[in-house]
Amino acid sequence: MIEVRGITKYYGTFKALDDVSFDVAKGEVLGFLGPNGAGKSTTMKVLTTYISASQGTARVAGFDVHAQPHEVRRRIGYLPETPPLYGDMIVEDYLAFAGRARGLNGPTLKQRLDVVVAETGLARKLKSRVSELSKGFKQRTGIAQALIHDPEVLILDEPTSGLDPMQIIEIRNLIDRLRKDKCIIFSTHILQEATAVASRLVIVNGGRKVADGTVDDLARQASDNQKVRVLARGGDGLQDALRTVAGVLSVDRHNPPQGYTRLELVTSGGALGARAVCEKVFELCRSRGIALAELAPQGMTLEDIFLQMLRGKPTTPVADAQQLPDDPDATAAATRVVGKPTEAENYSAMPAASETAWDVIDAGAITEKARSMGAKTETDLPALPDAPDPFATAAASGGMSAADIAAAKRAMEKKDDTPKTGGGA
Amino acid sequence: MIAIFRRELRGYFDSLMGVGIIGAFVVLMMLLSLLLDPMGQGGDWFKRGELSMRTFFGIFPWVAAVVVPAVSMRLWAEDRRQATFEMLMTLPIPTWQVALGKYLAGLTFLAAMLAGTLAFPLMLANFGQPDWGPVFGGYIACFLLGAAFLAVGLFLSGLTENQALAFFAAMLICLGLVGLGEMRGFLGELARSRPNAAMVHVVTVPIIGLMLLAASVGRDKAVGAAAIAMGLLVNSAVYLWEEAPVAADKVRVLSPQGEAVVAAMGQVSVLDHFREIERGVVYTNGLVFFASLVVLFVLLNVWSLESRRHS
Repeated sequence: MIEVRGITKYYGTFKALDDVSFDVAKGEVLGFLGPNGAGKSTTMKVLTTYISASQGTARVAGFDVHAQPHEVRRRIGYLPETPPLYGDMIVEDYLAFAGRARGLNGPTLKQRLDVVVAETGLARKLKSRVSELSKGFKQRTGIAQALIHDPEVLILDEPTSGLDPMQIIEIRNLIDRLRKDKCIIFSTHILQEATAVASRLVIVNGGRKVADGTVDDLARQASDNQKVRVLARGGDGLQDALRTVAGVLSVDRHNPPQGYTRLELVTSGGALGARAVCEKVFELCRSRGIALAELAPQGMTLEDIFLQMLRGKPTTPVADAQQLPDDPDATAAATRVVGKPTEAENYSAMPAASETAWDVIDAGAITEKARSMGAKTETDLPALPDAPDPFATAAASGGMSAADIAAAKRAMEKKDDTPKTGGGA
Repeated sequence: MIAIFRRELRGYFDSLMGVGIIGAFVVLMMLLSLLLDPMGQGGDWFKRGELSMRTFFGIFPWVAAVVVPAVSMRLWAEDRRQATFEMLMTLPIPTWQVALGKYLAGLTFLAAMLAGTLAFPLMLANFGQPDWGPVFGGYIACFLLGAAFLAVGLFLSGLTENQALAFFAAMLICLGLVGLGEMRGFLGELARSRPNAAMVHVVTVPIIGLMLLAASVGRDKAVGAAAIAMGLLVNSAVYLWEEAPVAADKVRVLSPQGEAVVAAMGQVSVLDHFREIERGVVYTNGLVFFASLVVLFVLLNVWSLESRRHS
């Protein structure tokens, strides 16, 4: 339905898009993911023929966006980043205008109006002035105008931005209902948003495509890469030394307590690889006389993978996730691989809407918070058995009392900075 | 196109502003027609004690140069501001049809404004037997002039998302178009006393105007700055350059080329064509003139909007 081939777009001398290519098939919902300014809107504007690309081509429903823009426009429904509304009109008139402008009239227009009003839940607001609608209803009106001519291709630029959790769910359900006979692209900068409805994700950053795959592909990648948290007293030069350790993909420095060094390693080779790295880190610290306060392996969430891609860090390609079920630690790690997120998670992820949130967001904390709010973490990996709650496992083996568990959960929620000894050390 | 036309027309009458503009225009025209005496008929209406529409048609071009930009300013600028522009530009309607739909809506509004002033001739008919020929011709002239100004305004409205900017730019150009006719006498004089300076003005001013236009459309600030600098430099430099003084007893006669230039300015002067038609002489020359102004600026509008896709 949509074929994008190497499109590049310059705004003056600024390169907004750099050789982006992807395809979207009919029935597919593509989540177009990336931080603000990554090139999402620019790509959509090229696809809707609003602007032309400097280089490269794109075809929508078989028509070239540059050579046959008129044919493309007949087949797309487009919701720009700001809904294109005339505030002085009432909703009904506005939608009728949108229909007529696309060549509908008479009974066809009436029938399509009824359909889109029902689909978007605007029935109560038909006689309201557009300027007096709440943000959620404005967004729905914008979606309704994109749907009025029953287009084959639907392009939605940040359809859920600025909406409250209930409205987000409604829009998400709407996209889910429409997916059957359409090809839908929607952009967002919130990962959970994309994984909730999209069958495939394309991640862009700085105008370049950094990832393209199904949610499952990325989840598998998430289970192959693991994080290891290290907290050491002193530890000058430890960061550089750890970079040379086999199996370590990247080393990040984080805010440590006074006198300590806190590092976060990304390792390859699944849980076994992470464990091997832990042993090497321990050996390295002992040989250098560095006191190790914490050494904790943990699974990576999709959010981690996503952030890693945005920072341009290497990740291993989709690899042998099959080895994971054999390993007891892997199941615990896999519980943090977030497939379809729960409502509570989305709610807690809302701060990510701000541009600066990219570096401070802690996906692990979000998952834990969501769990503490009573949400269950689904895993999207059919190969993995249902993941047990690590606390519950510990309690069942008699290692922890109920009071211990409650205290541990509180401690995780607080995310305190006091050094504690982790599992691997 | 009809959908766009209907939507724009609604836009005018849904808000109080549309009705306000019509009301203000009618009141202004009535008052000025009664109080002013630009045609030198011997005082205002109260002194003269006679009612005619000559003042009305006499001042219309100047009033229109201010009022019509107020009508046209919202046509594109409002869409540019509120993201409906993106929708319009991705509709399966060619841009020229969208522009034309908007233009025709503006034209209908203009016709409504003129219709509001029909009270004046009706008043005349009540008092006596007016000569309907000039009244009819005058209204046609007003409509054609307004149509040309509206096209200018449509074009400038498409260049910006700021309605006030669209208004002022259109007003300046419209006032300039009207003023050009009045400038003819002055330039004729200049051509006699300082032919070189006059020639430089006539050649450079349109070029600078075009460059400024290109700068505003292409958003290339350097071109605009260069145009202004070059204009100031060249047009003031010609006065430093000494020309042979004209002997007081020998009035120089314009060269044939000079005559042609002055005649050409008469041809592009809005006011001359307006007066011709107003006198009841509906001649092809004037109709072609106003029609080509409309076509030129509507095309410029479409071209400037289409070129934005590639910027």
